[in-house]
Amino acid sequence: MKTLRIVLIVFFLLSCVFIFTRENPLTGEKVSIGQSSLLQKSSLWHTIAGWQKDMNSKLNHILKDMKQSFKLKYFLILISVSLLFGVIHAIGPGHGKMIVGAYFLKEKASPINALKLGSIIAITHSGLAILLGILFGIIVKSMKMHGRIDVQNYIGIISGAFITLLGIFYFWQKIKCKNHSLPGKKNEILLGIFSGMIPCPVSMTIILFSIYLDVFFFGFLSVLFFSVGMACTISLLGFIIIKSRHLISRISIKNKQKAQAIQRVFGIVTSLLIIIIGLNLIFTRL
Amino acid sequence: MRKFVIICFILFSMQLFSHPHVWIEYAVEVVFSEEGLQGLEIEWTFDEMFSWQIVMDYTEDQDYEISEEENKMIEKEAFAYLAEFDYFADFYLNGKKFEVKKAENFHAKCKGEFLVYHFYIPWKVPVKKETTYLKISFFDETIFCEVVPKKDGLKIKKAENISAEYSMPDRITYQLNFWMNKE
Repeated sequence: MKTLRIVLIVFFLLSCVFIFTRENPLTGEKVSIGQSSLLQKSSLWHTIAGWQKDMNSKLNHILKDMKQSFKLKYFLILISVSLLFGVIHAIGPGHGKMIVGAYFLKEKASPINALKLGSIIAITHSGLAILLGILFGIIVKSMKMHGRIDVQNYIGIISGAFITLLGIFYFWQKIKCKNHSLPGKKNEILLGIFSGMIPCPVSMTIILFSIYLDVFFFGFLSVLFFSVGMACTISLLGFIIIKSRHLISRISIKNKQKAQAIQRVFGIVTSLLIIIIGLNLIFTRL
Repeated sequence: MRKFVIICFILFSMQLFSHPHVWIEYAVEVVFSEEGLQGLEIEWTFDEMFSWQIVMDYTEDQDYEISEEENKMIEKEAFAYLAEFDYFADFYLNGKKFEVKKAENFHAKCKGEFLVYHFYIPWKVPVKKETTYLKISFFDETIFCEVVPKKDGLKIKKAENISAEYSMPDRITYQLNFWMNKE
């Protein structure tokens, strides 16, 4: 049981990763994130990417089927595939997991907090995808992929700026040893919104495609369930980090002074990490 | 504490699992003349969603038929950028990286609901009596695109005086060896 717990913790912590790009290489500037060919050569990578490809394709077909006629079977396939796609897609780099990781390493929190933060990220994420989908699919239809990517990049820059400011604020709090200047709830809402603001091209494409097919409601449902799936993964990651942090606190409780010093260093390092993530979001898009 | 340091190290230094938003299957035809290797004919087949976006953005009737004019626009706006990414090419000649300078003869077409890019990468390597070793693969280091070979995705257009053989050392790489036939 203990081994299983450690394996699970490592597995999810591994998925909480740095990624130094959000550009579409088919239209955008080159941003290197370093050598990833080794990963891409692995069969695990291939398997997970393959699942996502299949689900992406399935959503494409099922939305077309929905246009032809509504069947309960199609509807159930649509929401279950969207949900699963969201769970798997969020395992990949990005989607605010690094911020969630850093935040819960910094803050003392409960599993409910993880669920809240994951949900806020997912709600913001799907809400924005729907708004952008409506903008690109109905209001400024003439905008091509370049334009759409540019708009997404500007939103990413704004998100990065807010995350950086929040990181600076946390850092200042930790340096001054002020732990509760902002209520935890407010912290989570702000962090969740800023992290969720970065649009995911998958959600955007689903919305655009559903508008094109004139089945917007089903596209909306698909993105909603996709986001619920993402929220599950992000919340689970947060939950595991909270548990890991709790485990560390228990280990270091023997020496209270030492434990406090460790907690403070953690707070400072993770605040710096949030600043770095925010700056990275800005500079990879400029 | 040691366990936690290890976990933090992994957490902050590694990346794992793919995060693709575009999926590409590639096929390669290796073109030889009597002098040796001349270049590679490349074919990329995109997933349905990306294909649809390109069709929607660049074709007039959104009918999966690409005219010459539309082909030029796609090349200019959705292909030329890839030069900055070396066209995702990861090619090696006798263990030394081959820098892809340009791609030629681009044309896009649709096979059903799939968008297909065709292009040619010139790569001149004279044939010798001793074996020459090539490694051919594509990957996107930004992880935005997942590029994998098609099943039986490598063909060889051989010259009579050249022998060639290939294998796949991993799931995305072709190892191709060629040499001059004994007279």
